[in-house]
Amino acid sequence: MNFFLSYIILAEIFAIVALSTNFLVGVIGIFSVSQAAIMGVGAYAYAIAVMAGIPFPLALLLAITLCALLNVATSLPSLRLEGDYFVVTSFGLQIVATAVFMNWSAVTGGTSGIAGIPAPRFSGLSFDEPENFVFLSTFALGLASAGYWLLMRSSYGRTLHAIRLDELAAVAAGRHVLQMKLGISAVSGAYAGLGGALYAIFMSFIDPSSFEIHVSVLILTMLVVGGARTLAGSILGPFIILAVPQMLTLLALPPHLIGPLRSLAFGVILVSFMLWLPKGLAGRKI
Amino acid sequence: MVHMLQVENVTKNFLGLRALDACSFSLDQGEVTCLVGPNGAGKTTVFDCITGFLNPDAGTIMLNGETITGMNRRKIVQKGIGRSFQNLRLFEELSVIDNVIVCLADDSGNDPITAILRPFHSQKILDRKRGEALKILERVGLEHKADHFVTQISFGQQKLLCIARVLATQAKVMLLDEPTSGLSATALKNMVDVIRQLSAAGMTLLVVEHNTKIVRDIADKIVFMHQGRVLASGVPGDVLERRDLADIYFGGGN
Repeated sequence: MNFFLSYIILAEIFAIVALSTNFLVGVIGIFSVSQAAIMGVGAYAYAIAVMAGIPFPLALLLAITLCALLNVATSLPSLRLEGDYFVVTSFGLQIVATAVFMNWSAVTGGTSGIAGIPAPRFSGLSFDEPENFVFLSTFALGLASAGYWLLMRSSYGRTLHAIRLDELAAVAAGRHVLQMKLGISAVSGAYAGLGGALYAIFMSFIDPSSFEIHVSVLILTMLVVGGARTLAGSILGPFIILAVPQMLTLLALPPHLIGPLRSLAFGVILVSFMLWLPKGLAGRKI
Repeated sequence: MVHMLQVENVTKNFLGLRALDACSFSLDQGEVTCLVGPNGAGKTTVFDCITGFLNPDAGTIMLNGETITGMNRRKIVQKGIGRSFQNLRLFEELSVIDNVIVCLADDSGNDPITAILRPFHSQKILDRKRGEALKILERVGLEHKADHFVTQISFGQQKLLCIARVLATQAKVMLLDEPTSGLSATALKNMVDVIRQLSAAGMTLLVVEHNTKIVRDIADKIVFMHQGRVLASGVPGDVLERRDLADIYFGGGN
């Protein structure tokens, strides 16, 4: 296994999920801490569909559509609940999702997860190996980035910013705020679904721990480090955050310390950026 | 005769406090009506009731003969009533022209499908909207600041931008909440000119204004409010000469 390529691929997958989170947290101002759960649903949906014999493009489409719908449903409370209250709701959704992944054993395989998820093949070319898969993930990130860029520079993107900045003024201008929020939630969900499906393909094994609350927090940390609302920020963040565990392995620490130290490092990074560099490396303040 | 906007016996209570008490007045097309009265008279509540931000407890509001009481805020904007806010509420991280683009009545291109899957069409819509927004900025004299950020323009220009935003909604009736407060002498003259031009172009305006000199300058009609009631309405000469109203306004007595 090529470690460097794996790192690139995972960072690219998480960049797609970071873009998904950016749409919600950065652009429209819905502070969601459950994007890993949506990503998880994408991963499970893809895995289950593919293992049931559904061809790759259809399984991918299914995962994306399901996540888009689910994200719209889970964002609905934010239309009534502001800021902190929605964080609590979203936290609850994350816990529920993890519980479902763990306990709906007949479908999700419970705590042992789903193994042996087949990689797609195109005319003899298999995406089993990182050397091939990297093209797929780079292509997907390219598409996702283009979508983000187009959306942000459109009239729709400007209106989304306006809603975040002053919802009441946007209403006074006659904008259909509800419809616009649901639209961006759907796009955000689709991105998380794409990220989840790619994750399932690449790892070929998924279990509930891959989509727990700490992964949601990790994704938010990526966004804070990279910087909210910019394309560069969402791509930079995952590449930096995923490099941290690799860096720690260079320190020749006893293996039992690596886990706790990694969590500590993420925590310190998150707090430091919030305090001293709230705009992140290439973005704006959340 | 059908008035452009007619407010009839509108009453609004807030937990036992009667903010509006059977308010009635009307606006006619092309006229500037100044809403005057001491703080707490209910001027902003009138704005909120007309624009659907609040639902009156009783009474009716009619636009061109059509009842709009209880209609949702967005619908009322689409019907042609636009408002500005006392505390501006501009989109501060957006450029001047984007503030206008976001408020345009034209809602096309405001969906993710067009934005992502039809990029060329989306760009065409944006270009068209930019052109439209520039024309609106010209009407208030801000076209040279189009690409500045809101925080980079003067307070007077920010207040003009508020008017441009309301114009963008294609309002036929404009409710302006204290458009001249806090302005320098030059900015004030500028604002008065803009209000006059709008009125000359057929716009119906309801303006909350405290400065009696400006009221004399711009008003075709005055509606004087106190403690939620309309105490007087009529041409400026008549209303402003009334001793009892002046006493209320300047705190001389009751």
